[in-house]
Amino acid sequence: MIKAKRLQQFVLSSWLISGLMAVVASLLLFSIFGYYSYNQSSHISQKELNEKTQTAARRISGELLIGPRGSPDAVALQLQKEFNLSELHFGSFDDIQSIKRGSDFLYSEVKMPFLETKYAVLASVPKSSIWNHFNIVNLLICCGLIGLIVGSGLFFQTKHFNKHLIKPIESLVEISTGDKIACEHWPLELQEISQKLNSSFQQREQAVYSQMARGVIHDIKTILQSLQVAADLANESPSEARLQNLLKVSKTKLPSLLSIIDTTLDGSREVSVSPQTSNLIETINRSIETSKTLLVAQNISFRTERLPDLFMLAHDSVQLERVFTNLLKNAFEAVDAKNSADKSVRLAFNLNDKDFIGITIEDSGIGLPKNPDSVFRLLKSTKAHGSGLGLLVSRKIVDAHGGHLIAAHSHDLKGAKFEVKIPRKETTL
Amino acid sequence: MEKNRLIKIYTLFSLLIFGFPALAITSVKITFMEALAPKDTTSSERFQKEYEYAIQTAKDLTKKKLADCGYEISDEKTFYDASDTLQALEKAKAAQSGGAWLIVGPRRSNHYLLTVKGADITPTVSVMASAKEVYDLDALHLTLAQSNAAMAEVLSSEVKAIFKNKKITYLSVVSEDCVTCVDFAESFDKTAAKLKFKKLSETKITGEQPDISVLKVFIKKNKPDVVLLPNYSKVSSYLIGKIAPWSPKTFFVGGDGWGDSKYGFVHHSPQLEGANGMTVKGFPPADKGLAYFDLGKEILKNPSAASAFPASGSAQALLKVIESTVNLLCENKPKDKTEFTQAFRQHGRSHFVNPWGVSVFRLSDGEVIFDKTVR
Repeated sequence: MIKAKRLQQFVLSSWLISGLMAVVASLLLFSIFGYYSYNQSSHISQKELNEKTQTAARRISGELLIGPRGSPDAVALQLQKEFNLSELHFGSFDDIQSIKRGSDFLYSEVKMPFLETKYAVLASVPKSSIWNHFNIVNLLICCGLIGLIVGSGLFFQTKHFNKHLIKPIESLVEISTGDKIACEHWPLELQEISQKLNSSFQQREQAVYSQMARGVIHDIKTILQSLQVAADLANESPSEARLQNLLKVSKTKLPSLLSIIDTTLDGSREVSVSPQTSNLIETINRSIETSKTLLVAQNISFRTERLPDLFMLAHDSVQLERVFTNLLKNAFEAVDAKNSADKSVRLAFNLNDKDFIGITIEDSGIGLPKNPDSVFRLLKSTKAHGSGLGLLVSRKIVDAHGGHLIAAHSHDLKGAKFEVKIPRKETTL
Repeated sequence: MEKNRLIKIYTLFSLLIFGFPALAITSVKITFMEALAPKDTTSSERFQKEYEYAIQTAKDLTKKKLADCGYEISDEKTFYDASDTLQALEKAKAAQSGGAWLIVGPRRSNHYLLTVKGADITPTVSVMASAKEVYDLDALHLTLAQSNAAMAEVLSSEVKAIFKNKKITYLSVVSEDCVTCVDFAESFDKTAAKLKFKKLSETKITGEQPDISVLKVFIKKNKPDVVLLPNYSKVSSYLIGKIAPWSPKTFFVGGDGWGDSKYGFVHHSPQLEGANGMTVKGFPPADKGLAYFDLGKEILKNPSAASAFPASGSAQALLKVIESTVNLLCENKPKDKTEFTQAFRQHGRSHFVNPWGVSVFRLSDGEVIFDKTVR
């Protein structure tokens, strides 16, 4: 919906800009056309007037040369009428120069042939008004012409925009569902893109399947191996101690197995939570206990900071326990994987924010990618054999509580840092 | 004996050597200038063809006589736009500087007067110019036209004869831009006054279709016996067409410009049906006019040549000009232009003379018909 609005705005802006450009172009064309027309008209009028004055000068000169029998005045009057002139004067240069000339008239002055040293002719016609050339009809013609050009362009653009851009893009989206789209009539560039997308989605599908299968199977296999070892030991010599060990292993590993199955299922569906007010510290402690049983490396320094004994908060204790367990387990595994001298994991409780309570888990492990938030993407596991589902599901659980799960680089421990922020609703200390 | 023989041989040799130049043909360059009305293309083209035909005919008929005299005519024909009068001056200047011995100038008086200004030291002859200034020019510039005074005298006498003892009233409508028209009107006024005609008014006009609506009331009220229209045929035809309905009994009289049955706009003009009048010309119709001078008579000897010859006064006048030029050359034997000019100045007036007198034409129901010639 938002995208459609933006597209609509984009189309509207295109039309608006085109319209403005059309107006500017029309005015420009109108000015050029009007000026050219006025200039040409003035030029033609002056040229015509010069020719008529030249003819008049010859005719009047002929009459003057005949002498007293000539009738220059009659001929001048006749020519003034015949040539549609406003004025036609002849006389000595001084007489002609003394005639006042108005700015609304075009004038032409010609020396009389064979009487060049004595007489001249002056003729005038009204000037063509500039408004005759910058009129509403010309403006409408210019606007119509430019409007037709721009309108045709936009019409064809819109028509082809839908056919050759919007529809192909919609179809490209469909490619992600795995459908095969017939795109042989698309522009070549879009055909290439669709082929690349098709190929990319197929590879991605294969990768998703492979990585998920690899991660889940690895986790399940690890647990089953522990159970297998415990069962084998009890079977070899069914002593009390060994049976107790089998029982203990079963008790700790089977919930993990169920957790893996739940996480796998949650990764593909919406997570629902049932918040009930209970002690959050207990939920955290259970996670710490569970995580410690999963801990492989024994020389990791784990400490908690500012953790109170009681903090009542509305939350789904089972789901949040999964979150803390997953974060702690990831931290221990990351620290172990780094294999450095400093092996630390720290859990801190933060009450500084008035709206949220924060639980931060930091480690000195291998750290996060450059863009820490990318670890929440499907299949983006921080571990070699991870399914990439754990953090994704954790975030879904925290989001379902109305909170935030934030990944960042740890400045203190030089590893990863995850902060769980849960809204303070019905909290009791 | 031997000595006489030697003298004879020497004489014969001298005649051969020194007599040869006398037998050489001298080319006499004559420029024929005429104005054409570009608006009336058909009429102008026809006139031009007939003008050129007349010159060629005259040249052919005089070729032998001229050759015997040691000359040949080299003609140059120059036509120009009648509305651009100044071209008469420019083309005359060009002809003079081009070495023309003689310029046969345009028919119209104002054009001819400008021609004279452009060719002041070259002999010129007009076939029809009849303004009084033309007759006042020096002996280098002559016209074959009958004088307006003579024509006006004949016209007024004929009008008097038609109206007998009636006290004749008349008005004049005169083209101000036509010099010969103004002259004719003046001449007519003088002769009419002698015959006790009463002049009601005179209106000056310009252009080919002048606005004479102001005359309507005057003419309807005064009903003049005669309206004088001493103008060219197109204007005269237009004016008769306008005035005749206002005063059907009015008798229209014209000068030398109405044309005849072949040329001009008065004859057979549809709008002139019912109009009557009279005009005078310096030329009779071609079939009659040729009998008045030698070269014309020569043509009449050959019936087919006579029928082919253009029936116009100007064509006859061109024949007469060339005949007169040939006679002048053969009688005076000028060696060059200078000698020709001198001969022209001395003897031109006796050669270039109108042989036709004044011809009277009647306008009857829109037709211009030859009546008689008055010498």
